[in-house]
Amino acid sequence: MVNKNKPKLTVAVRIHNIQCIEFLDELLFTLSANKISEQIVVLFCLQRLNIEDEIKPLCSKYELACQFLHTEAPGDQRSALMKRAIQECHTKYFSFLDYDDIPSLQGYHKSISILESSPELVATLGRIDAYTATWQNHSRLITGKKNTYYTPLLHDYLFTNPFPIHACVLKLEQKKECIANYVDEKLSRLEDYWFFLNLVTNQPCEILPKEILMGNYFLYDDEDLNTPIDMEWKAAREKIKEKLTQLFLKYIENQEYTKLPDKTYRRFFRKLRKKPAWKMTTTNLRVRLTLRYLASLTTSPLITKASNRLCSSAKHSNCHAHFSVK
Amino acid sequence: MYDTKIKILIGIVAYKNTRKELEGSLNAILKQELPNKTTIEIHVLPNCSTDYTWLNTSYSEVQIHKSQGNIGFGSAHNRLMGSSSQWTHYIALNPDGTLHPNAVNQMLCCDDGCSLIEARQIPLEHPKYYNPSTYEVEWCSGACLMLRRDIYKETGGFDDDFFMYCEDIDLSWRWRSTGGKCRIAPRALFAHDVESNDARSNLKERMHTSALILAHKWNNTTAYLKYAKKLKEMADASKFDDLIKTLANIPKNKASTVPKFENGFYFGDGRW
Repeated sequence: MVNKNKPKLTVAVRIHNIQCIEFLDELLFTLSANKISEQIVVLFCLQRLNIEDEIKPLCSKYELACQFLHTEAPGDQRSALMKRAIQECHTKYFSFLDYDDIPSLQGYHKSISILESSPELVATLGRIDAYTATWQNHSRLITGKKNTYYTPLLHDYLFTNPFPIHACVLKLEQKKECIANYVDEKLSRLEDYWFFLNLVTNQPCEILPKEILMGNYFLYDDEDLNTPIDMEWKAAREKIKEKLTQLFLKYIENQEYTKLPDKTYRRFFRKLRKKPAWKMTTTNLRVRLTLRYLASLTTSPLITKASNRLCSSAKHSNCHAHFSVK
Repeated sequence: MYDTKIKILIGIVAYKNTRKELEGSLNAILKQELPNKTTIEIHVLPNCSTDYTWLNTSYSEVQIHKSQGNIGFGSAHNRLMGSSSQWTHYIALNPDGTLHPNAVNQMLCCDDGCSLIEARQIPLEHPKYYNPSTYEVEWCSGACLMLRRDIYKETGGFDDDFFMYCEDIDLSWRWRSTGGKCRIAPRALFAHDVESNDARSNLKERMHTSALILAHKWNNTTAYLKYAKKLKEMADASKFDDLIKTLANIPKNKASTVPKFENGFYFGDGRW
């Protein structure tokens, strides 16, 4: 299928379950109504599923260009497909969706406009609204609003993972391989958090104004459709905490953050100073507080060691209370 | 369900819409997967001086009505509804939205003969509550709304006193006050871009003006005072005084237990 216009944006849709077909109609219809629909190519990343013949007519119905990636490898291949999707993308811009997401009609257009006007930027991150829903009689019934994933503060970003995978638009260009390497193929949970953690701390990114909605994602009352918090999730969480510790040690203790080209990252530290809980603190104290917080949540030897080393000062013993609130 | 022919008139009230916007809307109508014995007519009424003559050459299926300037949303739809006696079902459709290919069919499937039917707006659904079994709602949105001819005859369509906003709520409440129903068709998808609405500076003032008229018509003193107070803060004094004078000439509806002025502009219970 070839579009009249040259595609500008690849939207990778990972599919690991045959159930997805029913959801896809709604997703593809919404993409067809997108402000830049004629510039979109949908890249379906199929995990052990031979459903091209079912998907192609749907794309044809909505006049959407499509491509396919396959894997027959065993196990959860979603992260591996995520990496391959970036590597094999042929357009300048790239974004992710799950098969049951609903992207906003203007989010891609607005993100790309910002990326085009700021050549140094590599990615934008925007607001995602999460809803609870049931799937009955072949349609989605939204029962409530669960969450709004958004933060203008990188401090919150680091600790609460406020940007699901659908929140970003990437400008790949020459950095395609570098960005693909931010994906950890072995992670099957929190892979988005890991990816963004690497992306935001290594590349210039812009957090969009809150008014710009990137899309909706859904948590189902039927729990089979949701991702459970299991051992793999806990392991991923530990890995992320260790990464956070390394970042803090590297960028804060040595004050290397002042040299970073990423204005957003620097803004994080400026904002951090303004938070009431951090009043009268020095850079080192912020590290200590952070590590105390991390140590309270994890059994990681690395974090515990770092925490013990930096939090030895008795005068900061009341600091833990600040984080307990979070 | 239908033995006789269904003749649908889709009415579009255009207001400074771009060609791309209108083409998207019209192309989606032309792709509708309709049940047997069903036909669609498309009528466009410009509520502005924008030149839409290109429609004549690009869309032979579309009938363009002569603009009378911006006569308001409800009045314009009333004009379109009154322009033909042939239709069995009328669909009021916003020009900045796109119908799913199966949307009209799905709206017809939900037609039980006594309901106003609204399509499901995506990506931003209205948060108002609906019954998950019967799909009944307190009121139907006019962004994509279907009504049968007998409902039109019974209600007289929209109330011309509303310029924009809340005319759909008023129509829904009037219909429900006679024993009729309002329903959402959950599989009738309507992709509608409401994200740019927030940017319109006069949106709040217009919404509050319409809400004040609604409160006046349905004789709800608490809501009337609330909206009057807010409007007084945002509109200039002479404009506000003129509105209050105009309200005196707008007749009130019969007392009804249907209207709900709770939850601000939800006008009823919300899902969030």
